Amino acid sequence: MATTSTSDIGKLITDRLGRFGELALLVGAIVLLSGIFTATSPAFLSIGNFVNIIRQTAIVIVLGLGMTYVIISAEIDVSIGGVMALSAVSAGLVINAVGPFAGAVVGLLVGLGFGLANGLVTIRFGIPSFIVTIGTLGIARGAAFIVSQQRPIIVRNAAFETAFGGTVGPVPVLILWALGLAIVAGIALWRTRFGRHVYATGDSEQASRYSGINTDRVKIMTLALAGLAAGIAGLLFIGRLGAARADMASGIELAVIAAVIIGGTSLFGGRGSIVGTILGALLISVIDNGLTLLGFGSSWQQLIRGVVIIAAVALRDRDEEGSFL
Amino acid sequence: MSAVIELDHISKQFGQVQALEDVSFGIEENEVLALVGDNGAGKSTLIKIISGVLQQTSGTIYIRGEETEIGDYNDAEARGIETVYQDLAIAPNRTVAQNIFLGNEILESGPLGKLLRFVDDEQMEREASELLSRLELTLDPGSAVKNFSGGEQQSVAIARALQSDPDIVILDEPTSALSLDATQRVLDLIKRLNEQDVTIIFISHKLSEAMDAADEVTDGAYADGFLEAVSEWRPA
Repeated sequence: MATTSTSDIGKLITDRLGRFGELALLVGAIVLLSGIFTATSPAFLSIGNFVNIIRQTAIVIVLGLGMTYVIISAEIDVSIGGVMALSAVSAGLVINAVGPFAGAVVGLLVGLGFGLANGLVTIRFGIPSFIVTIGTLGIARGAAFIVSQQRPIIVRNAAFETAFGGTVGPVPVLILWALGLAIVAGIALWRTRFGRHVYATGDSEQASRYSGINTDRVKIMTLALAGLAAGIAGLLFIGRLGAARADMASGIELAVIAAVIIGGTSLFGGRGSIVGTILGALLISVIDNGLTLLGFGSSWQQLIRGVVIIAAVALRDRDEEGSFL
Repeated sequence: MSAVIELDHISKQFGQVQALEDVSFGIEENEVLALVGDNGAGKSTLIKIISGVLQQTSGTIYIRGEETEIGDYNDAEARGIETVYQDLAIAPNRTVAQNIFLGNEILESGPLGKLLRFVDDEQMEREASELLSRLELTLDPGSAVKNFSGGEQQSVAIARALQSDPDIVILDEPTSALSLDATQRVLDLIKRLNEQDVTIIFISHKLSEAMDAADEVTDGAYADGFLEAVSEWRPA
């Protein structure tokens, strides 16, 4: 009788605990850094600063939800900053001209439309999504400047502010939106058939196709979701600041991709989680916030963020070899 | 006894290139048929036609005597044809159970689960475990496939093909990337499948492997080339 067996029980344990170990490591890093920043700057450990960190993180998290789907499916979207700006500017103009509901719908449709276009061009023309989304980043950003006539769009609408910029008790609505969307995105990715197909497509597109999964449709949908997330983030940005500008969220795509990668999502696809992305975004925010309180400017923040990204990916690569965690 | 599947004068052209010419053969219920031929003989083209990846230029496919067009993968699956490809078509970071049910996930039975299309991991692991036991494979259904050896991974791919209880399983050079030991394990698995009344088309360019695995090896296949050999073979 021929039987097969696992040759390395340690590998199995690593496999079962690895994902949770990775997340625990991120939580540990956040706690450790918070401890260091609290010791060096007492202002760090206050409710006001905590809410500030979460608020700063919320938009990165919302953008990161879509990006997590995209990267797990082995694609990438670097257009989200431009799409977010165009969505916000378009929404702002329509809110002022027509009303908050119409403005929100337009903002979401602009985001979804760009996401769908990214997906369709990537798949139908066989162009790498990195190249396609570099192009649409420029198109969306340029269109945002044209549509706004290079002026900030001030939005004063009580209903819109309540929905996207108000508070529920002491908690900013922005945080509740991010939390709610993260729960939905996390459950959909982890528990639904579509979520499983996103993982499978990124893990092995060939195996997925041989198994009858429409990998083209999966990739188009993940890129569409990233566009939709950019549209939602645009609305949240208006809610937070009461204005939309064409140059808003410039460079935010790199912070979002960093959060997703630090959170454990593999750039090669097939691995990752929404919880990891949230923790990755929080880690970046804690570093940025702590450095700011210590008097270090954005240059230092960028430098440290770069080091953290490289360290996170290097450690995970060792994990892939079975020698870490 | 009628053939489960019968290919009648199948030809395939890619532009000016004649990849298959007038190929006819059939396989009966619970039989293991080995098709042997050198690289470039047209084995993979033939398999892709049967599994719906390619369509023939001319000729007819009969399934249980009925003329059939196999338009794509889903068509083939709906007609009870499953294929295991030579290049270990598995998702390495997914678990054994998730690979076995890839593209065919079991959904939760409750109304909410059905509405939201939630997958039922426990049921999939249970059914995967039963399937693996039936094949005498001691693999943990909850472990990622990347943790296993090449032979074990190929066994997962074969188990996946059997998950939908197909009429025919096509194994396209399932041992080409494997060590000698792993190859023997896969051949043993093929024999066990045959004992369990699974109908198998086994593709190989190694005559010894084919003879080890199959009830019937197409006559003179290795010497004369695959195309000629399958043209000569007809079901009784």
